[in-house]
Amino acid sequence: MIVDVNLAVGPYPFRHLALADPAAMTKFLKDKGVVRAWAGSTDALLHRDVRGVNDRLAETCRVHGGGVLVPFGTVNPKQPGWESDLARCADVHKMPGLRLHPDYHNYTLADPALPPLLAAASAKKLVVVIVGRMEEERVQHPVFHVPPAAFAPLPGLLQPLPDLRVVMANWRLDPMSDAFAAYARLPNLFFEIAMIEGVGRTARLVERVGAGRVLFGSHAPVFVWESAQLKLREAALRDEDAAKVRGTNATALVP
Amino acid sequence: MIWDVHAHLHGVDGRTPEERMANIVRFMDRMGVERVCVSMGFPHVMDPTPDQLRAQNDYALRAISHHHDRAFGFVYCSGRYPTESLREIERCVKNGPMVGVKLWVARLASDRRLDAIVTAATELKAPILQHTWFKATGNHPGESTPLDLVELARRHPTAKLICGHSGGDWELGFAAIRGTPSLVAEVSGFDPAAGCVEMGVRDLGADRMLYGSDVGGRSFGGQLAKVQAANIPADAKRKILGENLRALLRPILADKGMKP
Repeated sequence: MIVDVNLAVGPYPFRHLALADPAAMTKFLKDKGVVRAWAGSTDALLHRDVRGVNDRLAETCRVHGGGVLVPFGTVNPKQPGWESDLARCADVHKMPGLRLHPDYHNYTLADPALPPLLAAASAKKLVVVIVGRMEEERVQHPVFHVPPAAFAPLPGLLQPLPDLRVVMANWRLDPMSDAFAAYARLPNLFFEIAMIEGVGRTARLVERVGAGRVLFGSHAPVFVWESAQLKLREAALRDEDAAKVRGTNATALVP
Repeated sequence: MIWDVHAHLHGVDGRTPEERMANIVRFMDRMGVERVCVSMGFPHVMDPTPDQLRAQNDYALRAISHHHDRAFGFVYCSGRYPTESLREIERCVKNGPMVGVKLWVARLASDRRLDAIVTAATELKAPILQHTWFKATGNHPGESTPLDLVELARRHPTAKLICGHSGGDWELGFAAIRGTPSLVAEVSGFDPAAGCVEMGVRDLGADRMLYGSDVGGRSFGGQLAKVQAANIPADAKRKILGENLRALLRPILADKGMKP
């Protein structure tokens, strides 16, 4: 059983992607043994009609998701009306979580607009996935230089919100570094593995934070889905730990 | 059969080159990688002095010394010091166990000071792995793009030049080298972007593609996925994962009496 917590559906602005089509993605995921995939929308990166993006995402997952695609709407705290966008995700579409794109939405995690959003998400019991980047800066389109989100303010943001569950996605920090201690000590912070790189680094992350807080994430269709699968193989975790990472942890967050 | 053309000791656990290499081999076993080409020492030095070049190569020589059945060495050279680099080629390749040359970011590949290094490597039938990137954030002053390598390839049409990282921004990299048939591309060191190997096969053909990981800064898993999951024919995958590199190395291995 695999639950993929880092996925998007829809066309990508910079490249044709074979799995951008939601129906094709669903079939692919089922063939791979994925039972649930937390799906955001690629439209959420640049479209400013956030409500429309989330409405279409909900419909796409309902029509093409085959019970696998679980919609995670996007909310931009820098845009007017974010409160109603968030409420609509939770109350109308019954989404279990949100995806934030501070990189494309041009705010830092230190922005004063963010704590109210996180508090509202916590009140609605929404899981929040914070996507640090879509692609590394070195290979971005020359007219779309989008700096990655710096996660440093996140531990401070979460301290007053112990019931909020947050997932760091597409992050690049050294899990063995001293600086990582601030993240490691927060029990309501979870880590997906799509952009972890370095030989054996996924195993190191599990050693640092425990298998109960690491989640399978692929960043498909932008990334090759099998990258996450092979990194788990490289990690050679104990069977019970691998099962947690592959799906048990995510299922506990979103049953 | 998986042969990896691009690996380093940096970023791998271990206090000594021997320990780092043993760790790499442990992960190779886990991921089904049969051979790996190792270059440079620890820590990495971007613009090494002659003494540092020698020390870097000594480190790599120590690393591979107990693993000649699994690891090949590529001698680290610098266009800033062509004379000293030639000495290192003689020491490590001609009279030593190494089988290739590694060029990083000390000088652009288009720089004519590299000519003597390329000529010496070519005489020994040694492939040359040249780091390349098209960085949207800007290259280092001595950091080559694939276009620099194309210029070098035009001056040395018989050299076995490998376009490291396929230029990083692989869509530009493949486009830059597709008109230069003597160049092959390796796909290590950039994120596992969907479609990269498919584009490489379309533009270059599978015969001009090599698998590489850039371990230890990268994982075997994430980098292998680019090829193993690519939507290309099975024989193309076999070539990219190992057959092409074995064919590239076969002449120098034969000269050295090493098993391909």
